[in-house]
Amino acid sequence: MTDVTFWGYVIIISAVAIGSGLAMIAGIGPGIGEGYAAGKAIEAVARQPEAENKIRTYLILGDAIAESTGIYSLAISLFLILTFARPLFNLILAR
Amino acid sequence: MINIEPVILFHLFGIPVPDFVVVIWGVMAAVLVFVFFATRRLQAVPRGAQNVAELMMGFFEDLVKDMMGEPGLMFFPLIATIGIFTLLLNLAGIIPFVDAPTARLETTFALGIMVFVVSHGYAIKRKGLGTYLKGYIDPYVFMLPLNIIGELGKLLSHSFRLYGNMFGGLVMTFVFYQLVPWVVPGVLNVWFGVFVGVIQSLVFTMLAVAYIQVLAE
Repeated sequence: MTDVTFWGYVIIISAVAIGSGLAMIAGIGPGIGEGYAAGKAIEAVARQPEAENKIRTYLILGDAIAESTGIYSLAISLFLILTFARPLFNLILAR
Repeated sequence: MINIEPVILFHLFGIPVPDFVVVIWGVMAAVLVFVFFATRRLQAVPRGAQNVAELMMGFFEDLVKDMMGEPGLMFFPLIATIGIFTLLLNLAGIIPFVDAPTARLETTFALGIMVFVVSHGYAIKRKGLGTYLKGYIDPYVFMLPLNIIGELGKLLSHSFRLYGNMFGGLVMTFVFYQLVPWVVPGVLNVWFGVFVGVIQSLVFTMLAVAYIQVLAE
């Protein structure tokens, strides 16, 4: 590594921390989407109780797919921390 | 310890073999042993291991038949393999000290590429190269980049969804392991491994069928 000063590492780590925090904003989407889907599912079951099994299956599958954007942001933020922040952090501790 | 770089255990014919590939081999060996015992005394009325095997096969056969109809049964072996493979890899994460191989992007991206190649190859074989390429400039010509990005986006989202769920579960249990070792992480690991694992494997398989079917017609 070129002779990045101590403060250089601090800036990088703090930037990565802010970035991974911001990445988690995408968690709003699945929350709203799945809440809406569950509400509609309950209405559907209320309207047709005998179709509950099919509705439950579609609800769970729909939730799993709706959740993907939230999971992408989770993966990105964890990835950022584990690939950038941790090695640099160990570098600072090793100094 | 969660590591992004693969932990190379040994070299086989000069090719580095990381730890999660050994876990995959273990899972494959377990399936082979199970299938060996399940097919020893095939009876008309299945019992025990043979019953379980037939249930699994029946489930995937219905899945493919429902979504793609009779001609779709050509893909039944592929879809059953993807389904059982991802299911068992997700469940392999429950074993203590064994990380789920699907918690690594290499595994899920490989599966995603496999489905991508199969779906596009079948579309080309079935519709002919001309109509296949024309499909990319479907409504208007300037939709070309959008359609291409859409196709690549499907590949990315397909493999990233499985990876993100399992990797997120792994990190959650790892974080809790730091706080309360051996009690909470055990329960959490089983929850992420079983509930999330089974659903994500099912979603991955159904999307694989859906991608093949949507491109084919």
